[in-house]
Amino acid sequence: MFVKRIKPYAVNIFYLLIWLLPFIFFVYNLITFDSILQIFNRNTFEIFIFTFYQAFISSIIAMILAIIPSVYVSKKDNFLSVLLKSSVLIPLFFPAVSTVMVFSIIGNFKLMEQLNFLYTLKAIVVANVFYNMPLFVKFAGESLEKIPYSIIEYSRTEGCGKFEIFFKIKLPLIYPALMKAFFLCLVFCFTNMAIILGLGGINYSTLEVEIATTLSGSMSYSSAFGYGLIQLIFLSAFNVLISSCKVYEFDDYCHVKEKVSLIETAYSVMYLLIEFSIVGLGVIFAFYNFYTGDFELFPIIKIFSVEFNRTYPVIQSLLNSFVISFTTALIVTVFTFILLKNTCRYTNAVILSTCGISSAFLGIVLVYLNISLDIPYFMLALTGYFLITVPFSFSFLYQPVLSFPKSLIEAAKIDGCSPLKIFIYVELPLLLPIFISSFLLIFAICFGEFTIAYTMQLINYLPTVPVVNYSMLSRRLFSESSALNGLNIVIVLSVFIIGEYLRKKLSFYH
Amino acid sequence: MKKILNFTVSFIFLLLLSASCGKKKNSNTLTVYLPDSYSWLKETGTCKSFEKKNECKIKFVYFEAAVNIVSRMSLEKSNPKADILMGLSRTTFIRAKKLGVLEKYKPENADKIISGNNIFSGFYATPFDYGGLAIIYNKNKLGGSLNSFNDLTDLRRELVLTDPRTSTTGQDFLLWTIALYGKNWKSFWRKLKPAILTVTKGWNSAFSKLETGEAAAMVSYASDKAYNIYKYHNSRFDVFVPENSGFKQIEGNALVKKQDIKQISKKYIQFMLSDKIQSKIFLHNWMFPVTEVKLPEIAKYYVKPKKYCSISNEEIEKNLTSWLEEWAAIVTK
Repeated sequence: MFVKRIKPYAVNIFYLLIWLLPFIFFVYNLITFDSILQIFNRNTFEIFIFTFYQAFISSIIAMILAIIPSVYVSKKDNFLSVLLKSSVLIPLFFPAVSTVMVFSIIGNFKLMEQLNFLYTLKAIVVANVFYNMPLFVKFAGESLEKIPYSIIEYSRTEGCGKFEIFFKIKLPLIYPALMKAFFLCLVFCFTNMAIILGLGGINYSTLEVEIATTLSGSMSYSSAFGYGLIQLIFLSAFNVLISSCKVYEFDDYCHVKEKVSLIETAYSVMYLLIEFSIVGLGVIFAFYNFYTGDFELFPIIKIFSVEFNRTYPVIQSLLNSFVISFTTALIVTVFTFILLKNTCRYTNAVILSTCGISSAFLGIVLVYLNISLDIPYFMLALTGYFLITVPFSFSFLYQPVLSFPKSLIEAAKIDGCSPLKIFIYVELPLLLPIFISSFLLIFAICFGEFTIAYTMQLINYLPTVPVVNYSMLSRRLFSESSALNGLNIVIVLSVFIIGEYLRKKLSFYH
Repeated sequence: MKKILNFTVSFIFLLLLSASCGKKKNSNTLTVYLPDSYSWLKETGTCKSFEKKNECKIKFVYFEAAVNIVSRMSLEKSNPKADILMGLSRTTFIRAKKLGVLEKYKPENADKIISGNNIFSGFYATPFDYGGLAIIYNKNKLGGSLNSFNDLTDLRRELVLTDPRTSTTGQDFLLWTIALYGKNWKSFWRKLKPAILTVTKGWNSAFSKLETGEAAAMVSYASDKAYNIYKYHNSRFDVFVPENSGFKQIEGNALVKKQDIKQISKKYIQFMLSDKIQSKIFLHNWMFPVTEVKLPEIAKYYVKPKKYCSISNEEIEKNLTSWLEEWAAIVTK
């Protein structure tokens, strides 16, 4: 009885320890309380306000602009809706560094130059909105899809019009999903460093930028820790607030696809064109040198040459990124499943609290573990990637695992199945498609992860694709960097397509 | 519960196992921390003869700038992994010395160093190369030449700088303005602010903005003309250095203070002063060697001022933190 009671807490505590122990070790050795207090001044307050302001404005605009494509996704089941849904991969795999590069080029177009686009708040917000709109399309679209058609029909019978149905019926029902997407978007905008540094310039600083500048400049780990703490506390509190939204469960799930207007279709096509044209430009730049105006196949061949790999280990980085991403994705998916089978009332807060961890600070903490305890970089990279991806896997698997029919498990138990057998013969076959999706999502996130790898200086010990790409970019090898970037996009898109294929095939059989 | 326990124990076991694997150290490996602009040392195979002669292996660990090397050393202070630090500028040297991570060492061939270049008090670091800072600019985009620092203040969103908090070039430019304007340096920066297009983390990103035409001028080095003529066969950018007040950047190499300092570390510091290395500095690092070696023909394009201005190490040590804070308050607000 006692064991049964503490079992859920044990898993949660295990997760908490994985992320708290390294920080405690770092704080104990390097942080002084007095130095943390020094950061509580007007300057920090202004930085915090700006961090929140740009993240909030970007999230609101992204949410508004994503409403129509979300409605389209919920009403139609065609190629366009699949593409709209797949755009969610953009914020997860398209490197922020590449986004900055593309927007920098766009910002240098004559018209944009006249508008003073670059190095302004406009540039930050536009890039943030582009980067995060797909999150709303995915979450809101899927939530709208789940609204039973009977509810819409009742409303119509009661005399509700199109707009009344949307604002008074649909919007309140999808509110929790919208808030979830809003939280993720706010976290991405709150913690994104590359966009602020690359497109905002010196006039704009966020907590994450201050952390990175402090870590590499003044070496005041206490100040960086203080900034990180503010970020963590704020985002955790925000998460708790968002998580308190009531989720509506629909038992009689029956959704009928509806007609869409021409405006909805045109807007959705335009949205898709904008989103994918930015990514497409990333691929085009692999073959087209924007600055010289020449098409060249040479860079994509060059990055695989022996000579080039002596300085920039592209082949090794592809292998490393694959191994790390694969291992992390596997561990995270298995761990999240175990965790979801052992939830307690604190689970949500415990897991999503890691969303607020500063990746730059986490990177430094992990480096310190290597310096002090000689833990190899591979293990540390796995730990870092594990911590940042568990919240995503948790959000992804939450509904399918928790709503798994208990009657099936009970029936298997009556038939004398052990928990292992129940998992292998009952749960695994039914949940396999969603496991594959979660695995591929984590794989894609890890494959594109930059901040931790950069802060840990992995380029010297365990080069991964994003840091090798950055090293080429910072040495002004634009064509070669674009070629690797294009390859990166193709790899992740292929993974997504394979995943979708497997998911559909397996769903069909069951 | 049993499963969770098994999982926990396996994970900890794996962690410990990998930790013990990581502890294997090779005493014949020399770990050198250096800015990535020094990658030519490995790429050209210049150090191969040293490795062969001393039967050792050199592990080069690259950082974006010397500033990052010192930050890393502050983490490694109690358990240093590096044997040698390369590319320390005056400010990063002062910070590293203050941290207590440098070991005093005067190489046997130190007398080869041309006088005036040893700014590293008491051989806590050995000079390696030097060069002058300069403003480089695209004359066509700017529509004229630059003749003084005051001309810079007339520009509007055309100048790109490197952040003195994260870059040595940025730090040295800040010191240059302080040396030039004394107590009035802050009012110069206030006037300069409208001229700034953006401030980048490092030199490379600033240069790419100039190269792609996004910016018209940037703070760089007086050897840029020579570099462009050598690499692109034309002088793409003009170089401006005030005639009577240039600013010299001297870079040095240092031994890391640790319990067992390897003999090869000392030999490496000496090797960096050898003619073999020093003669390669101009064409690879685009700086001047600190010993008397024959310079390539292209070195004549280096824009040399008549005089250099300077600030003492003591003054920098005393004020650097507050200068950086004051700079940030002016430029970022």
